[in-house]
Amino acid sequence: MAVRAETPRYDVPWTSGRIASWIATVDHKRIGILYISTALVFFLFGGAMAELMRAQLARPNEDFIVRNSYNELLTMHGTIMIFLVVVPVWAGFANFVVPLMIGARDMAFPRLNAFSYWMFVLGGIVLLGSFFAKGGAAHTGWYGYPPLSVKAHGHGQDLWILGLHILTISSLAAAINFIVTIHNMRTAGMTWMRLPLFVWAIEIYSWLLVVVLPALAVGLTLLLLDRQAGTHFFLPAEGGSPILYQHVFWFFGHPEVYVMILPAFGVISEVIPVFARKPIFGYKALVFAMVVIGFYSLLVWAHHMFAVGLPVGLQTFFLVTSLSIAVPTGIKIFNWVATTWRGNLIFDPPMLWALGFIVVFTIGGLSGVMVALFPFDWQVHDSYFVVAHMHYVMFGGAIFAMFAALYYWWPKMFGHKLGRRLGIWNFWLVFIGFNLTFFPQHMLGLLGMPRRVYTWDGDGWWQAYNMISSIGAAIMAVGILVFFVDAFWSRKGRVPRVGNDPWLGDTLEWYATSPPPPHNFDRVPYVTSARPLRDLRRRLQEGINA
Amino acid sequence: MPPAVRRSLPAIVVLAGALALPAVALADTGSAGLSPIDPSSENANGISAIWWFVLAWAGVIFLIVTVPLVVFIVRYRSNGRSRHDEGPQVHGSVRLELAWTAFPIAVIIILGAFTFWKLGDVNDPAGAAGSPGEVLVQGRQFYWQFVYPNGAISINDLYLPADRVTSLEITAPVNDVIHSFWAPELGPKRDAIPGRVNTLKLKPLDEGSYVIRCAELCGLQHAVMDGTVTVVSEPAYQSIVDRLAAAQKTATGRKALGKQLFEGACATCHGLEGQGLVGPALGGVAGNVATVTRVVRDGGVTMPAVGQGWSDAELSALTAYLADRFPTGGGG
Repeated sequence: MAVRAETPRYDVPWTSGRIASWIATVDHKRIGILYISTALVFFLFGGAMAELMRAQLARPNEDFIVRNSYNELLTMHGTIMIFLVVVPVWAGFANFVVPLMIGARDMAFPRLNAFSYWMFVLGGIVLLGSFFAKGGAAHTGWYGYPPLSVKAHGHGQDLWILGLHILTISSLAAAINFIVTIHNMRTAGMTWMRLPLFVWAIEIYSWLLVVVLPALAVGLTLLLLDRQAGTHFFLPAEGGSPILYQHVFWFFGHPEVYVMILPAFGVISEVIPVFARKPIFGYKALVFAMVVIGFYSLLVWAHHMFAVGLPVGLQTFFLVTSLSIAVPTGIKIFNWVATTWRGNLIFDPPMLWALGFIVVFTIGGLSGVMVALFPFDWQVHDSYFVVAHMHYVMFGGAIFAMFAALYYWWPKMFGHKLGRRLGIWNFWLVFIGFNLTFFPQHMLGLLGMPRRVYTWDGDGWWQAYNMISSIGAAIMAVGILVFFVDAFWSRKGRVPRVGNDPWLGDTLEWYATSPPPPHNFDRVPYVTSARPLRDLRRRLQEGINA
Repeated sequence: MPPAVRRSLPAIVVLAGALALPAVALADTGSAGLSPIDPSSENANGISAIWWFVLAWAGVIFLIVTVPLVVFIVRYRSNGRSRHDEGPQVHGSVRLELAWTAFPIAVIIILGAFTFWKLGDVNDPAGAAGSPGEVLVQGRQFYWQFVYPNGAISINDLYLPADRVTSLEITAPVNDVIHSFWAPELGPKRDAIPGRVNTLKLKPLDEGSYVIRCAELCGLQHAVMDGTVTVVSEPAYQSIVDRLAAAQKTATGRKALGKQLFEGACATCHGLEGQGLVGPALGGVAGNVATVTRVVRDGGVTMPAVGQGWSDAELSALTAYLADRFPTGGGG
């Protein structure tokens, strides 16, 4: 494999094998690659479920996958994409990149790091395995609202709770590890204002996880007790409150959205300056915006509950906080656009994804402003309008950035680039397929199509938009498969190796060899700015010219 | 204005026009999903007003972001320049940062102010209350039950007076799950939550019939938990509700209610002929009053207690209808 095995500190014979060395590894780079590849496998599962749902919804009154089978798909699609794809894929990139970016030898707690990864695998197995449970997988939505989730028969819901508990432990351990690493292991000269923006994003990602995951754990535990121990925290028949669960869940659930999108912001903030051949515009503003977004994300949760019938005063509070988040988000977008001004824009695949991200994420952000206005949300809440909105933010945001990150850091991970031609196909197929899939869903929501329905009946525009959406989903699937073909085809020996710094990057990971040795760096240059590698290149250039 | 922007101005104008034209053309065709469908109540009109207002601003902001982006992409593309060729080392601009902080703040204040200006129409429309003015709306797995103040009951069919404000008291039985009442053409939705009553004041304007959908995943048959709102004139509304109440005191009227209950509460899972669908065929059970009563009141292993909280009159309406419909025990 691409990353060289570390020398075991103790001679444990079984850990030196080709596969065993990956199982026993505590090296952050290998764990990062394991995280990313495992998340990509789950991405295929979750994506296949989405394709099945779009097949069912392509035509009216279709009979392909109906009722609880469909409900299982929609529940597990959401759960997988959030907990097994986006959150862990960022943990993977953070694992690989953060220690390199801050000039550290490894994560602060390498074994805890391996523990996080294997808990993630276990959680994933429990969740996917729940399809074989009595009564099938969970089928009450990725948020599992009681009383429905308490009444749900079979073991799927219990395994769902168990799986999320395991993933919570995994994410908490990882988050604490990132925080300790970033706070303590930055190399000489790397002050907070010289920290790469991706590292800043992971810092806030980690803090948000630490703050909100306990709320999820509490909610899920009470739910489990209601299901299995005869308690009635959320059961109105015995005086419990189903609304309480919604508050607890969304106190976790909305910051979770920013857990998924802040690292994406980080990636975009790394990629755009490197491919625009300019410094990032407004570094401090971008840091400030991320901190503010992180803080505000803790105060907006009840905008998921505008249809619950909360007092108008309370809804007003959440309207104000939700709209406020648009301000720092806008600052980020404007700064990214400004970074491209007068640049030397090189459209390699990472840049294509980053520029595509700006366009689709802006659309998702704007529809987010719309649904923050609660009287309007009363119309479109739980309709396909929201499905469109959240996919513009989560797919158009997080997944576009994930592809940018894959193409950007692939040479660092494996010593060679992914193919440029296939990368361009990959981007355009997904970009077009994505917009065909999700843009018409805004219209479906406005026409009155609720979410989470296994079938629909309608004519004219209903048929047109649903069909376009399903065709778009198929195009997207082809585009994503192009990436996997590329990833498998571009292997050692088939494609030329590139140097340590193929993109002429700004940050320290490009100072290490590609792939980096187990100890990362023989020595690390003293950091005097947020772009230590460019400084180094210039010093070398001056040395040659002198 | 920097020269680069000035040079790009024609391109910006052309691009903005190209983007705006199809939008205008499409908007002309009415309910193509470009605005909330066919608003037919004062509430929905308020929502539509908010939509068009926020959409206009969203369009402007989208162009403010994408037009410069596209211009920069075209204008500053590498075009064979070396990767070593760097752009100017511009690290930021305090003035610009302040500008694009202040501008979004101004926009959200405008959007918020407009929303609150329209909030009254959406949440609490002015006008005379209908008579009777309160309808109890119960979301149940997987049908809607409407109870009028005079005791009349209708299943999946809600009658409302036009030009009157009707308070819908929306809830679900305590042992049921969360549903959400939504008639898209009439505007706002409200969750039907067990053990909690939400009031939704609707003021339909146009007579006609509008679909009701359940907007909160409520289980197996969530997708087909549809109903109809029939909006009629105030006098017509009163006579319908009065006739319904009177009829439901007679045997024929009860049988009609029984038929509604069967079609709304039973047939969704057991089929319109009782032939079995998701649930088993009704077989010999349909005519057995004791069994039907027990199953309907308490539910089964997977069957929801569709009849929890039913009055005795409702229950006997169903059993009478079933006995009549499936005299030999039914099925098939």
